[in-house]
Amino acid sequence: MYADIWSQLMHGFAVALQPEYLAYSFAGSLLGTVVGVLPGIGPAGALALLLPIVLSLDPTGAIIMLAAAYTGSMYGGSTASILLRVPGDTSAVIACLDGHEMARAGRAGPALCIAAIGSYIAGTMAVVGLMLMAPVIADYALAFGAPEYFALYIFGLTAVASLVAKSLLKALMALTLGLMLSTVGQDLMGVPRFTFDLVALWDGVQFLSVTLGLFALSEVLDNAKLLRKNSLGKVLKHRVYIALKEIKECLGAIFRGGAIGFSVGVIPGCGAATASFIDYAFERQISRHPERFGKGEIKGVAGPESANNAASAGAFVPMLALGVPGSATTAVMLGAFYMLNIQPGPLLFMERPDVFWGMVAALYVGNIMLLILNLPLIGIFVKILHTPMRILLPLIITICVAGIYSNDGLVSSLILFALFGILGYYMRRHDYPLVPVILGVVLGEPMEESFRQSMMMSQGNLLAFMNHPIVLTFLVLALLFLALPRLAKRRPAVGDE
Amino acid sequence: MWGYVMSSLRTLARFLFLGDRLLASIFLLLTLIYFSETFSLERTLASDVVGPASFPRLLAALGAALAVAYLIQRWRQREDIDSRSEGGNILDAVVELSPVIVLVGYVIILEPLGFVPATFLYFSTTMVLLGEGWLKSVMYAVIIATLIFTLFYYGLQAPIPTGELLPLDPLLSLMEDFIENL
Repeated sequence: MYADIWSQLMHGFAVALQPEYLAYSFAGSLLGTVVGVLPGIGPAGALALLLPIVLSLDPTGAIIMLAAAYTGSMYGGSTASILLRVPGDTSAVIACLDGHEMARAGRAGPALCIAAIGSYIAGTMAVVGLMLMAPVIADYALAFGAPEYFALYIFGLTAVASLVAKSLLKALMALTLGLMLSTVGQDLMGVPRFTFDLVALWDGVQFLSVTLGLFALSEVLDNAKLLRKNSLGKVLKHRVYIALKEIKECLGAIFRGGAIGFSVGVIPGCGAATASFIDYAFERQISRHPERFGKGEIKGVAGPESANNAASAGAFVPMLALGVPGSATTAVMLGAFYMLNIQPGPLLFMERPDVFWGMVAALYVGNIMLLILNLPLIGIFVKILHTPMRILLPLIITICVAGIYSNDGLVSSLILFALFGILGYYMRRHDYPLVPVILGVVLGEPMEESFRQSMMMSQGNLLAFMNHPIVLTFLVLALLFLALPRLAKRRPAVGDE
Repeated sequence: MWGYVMSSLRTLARFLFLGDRLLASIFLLLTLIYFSETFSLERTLASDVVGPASFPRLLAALGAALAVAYLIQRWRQREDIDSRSEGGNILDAVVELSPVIVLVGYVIILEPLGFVPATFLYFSTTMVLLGEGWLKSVMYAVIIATLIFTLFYYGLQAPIPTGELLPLDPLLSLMEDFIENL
């Protein structure tokens, strides 16, 4: 079996390494990174923008370019989070914590380097996983029904909320607020909820307005205040490259991130954001220095960034093996497959091995391309931090406004952006964590969907699922995550702001 | 007696509406409004056992319980709260939030004026408010507004407003023709 895999993979590489396809991979990585840096576009948007171009290519070239753009956009999103605290996508939110703190402390170079290296190693690990385990994992993903998903969301939410703030109550309030925001708009059956007869709210509160308001605008308000008081810190001389010692220190976190990211990524609907949140909580939990998390701990960048990239590759498993897109990005990819007359699903491995192995090889090449392309660019990226605040602050807002407006064309989303900016500013001032709000907004909808489906399956009795081993495992884990830090004499918490 | 009641109410109001408790109090109020709104939601399908209101009701109950628990916890620690460092005047808050006020102005003129003129006005005003000179601010505003517009409108083909009041559309068509000819 392994000899067969090897020969197929070699065939895939023989195709992906042709000069023409290498050029597509380079172009995809570059475009993906550039688009990923901009808020509002995100990996799914980046792929959608590339569709008109890739559909004019042959199927192999199209897949190679899309795979490279996907990995590039994931990395680009993290760059903006680390340097400017402007997360372009949900999966980049966690990089705002330690990544941005590192940048503030003059370590933007190491933060970007470890994000690129972690993304490369974990991305490659995940591609190996995709290659070896896709058929097996397809069965594992099928074992997840609505109750299992609901339990997984409870675990993911409580694990993160219990670790990101000094006060558990504040974190849980922030989380509940996020979940409440996720219920605004039409529900699964099309019933409008909490819209107050405003048509603009029918599609719900736009994720970008919440995220960019809470993170980017509140940061701008903070810096503007410091600028007025003339108490902005001097721009530090930034180290551009990372020390070998720092890479060694992070290797464990990168491998753990790769494993967690891939395992979470293969579950349809979980996505890279959930993987990075869970990995961050896990890294902090096992760290000997949990007090450093949120204050510029390099493992707080290495782990989640690796998880994020591994989850992206993991999301290809349900897409390729079952024809079920695990995320918005893989949904766009699936659309591209259909347009290219490729039918993903259990028969793909037998009927179109060239596509599957071409995709695997393209992901390997895309990861290498990402590293080659981005490491030399780190010096240029870091220079952004030397831009005077008087230019940088309005520039951040202008890019956010363009990103939010271009996403849905609604002025009301921009008003919400302003309101969430004020909320974020006061939440930061009073030590309320911001991450749980985002987590609630992102996971609220799928959580409610799994809750309602579970209730329908059990005729309204949620306790009927307590004998499901996966459900029970996740609930016990959630309780442990809530209780352990308190039992261990309150570990110092992450000051995510 | 009356004096005692008034003084207790003042203490309670000061406790609830200052410092970190203000956000918890607002959140408590929000959960109550949110909970009351769930009663206007109706089930559309008989097979939908729980309906659209159950999950929000769970959230409202959880949120209210958390907010009350937090306020009780802080009430017990009220001796440690340094009330002198709390509060502040309205003027300070307005100055602190001035970038948002300018942003709201920008948002209001965005669609009527279009992205480039609105961004130009916003960018130059904000730079001046942050202490930059007029000339430099105007220069940067022109460059940034044009660059971002070009990137989103032409590069990403995103729906950026071109304006209703200024006749920019013919100019944009001319530019598009020019780019196509190139």
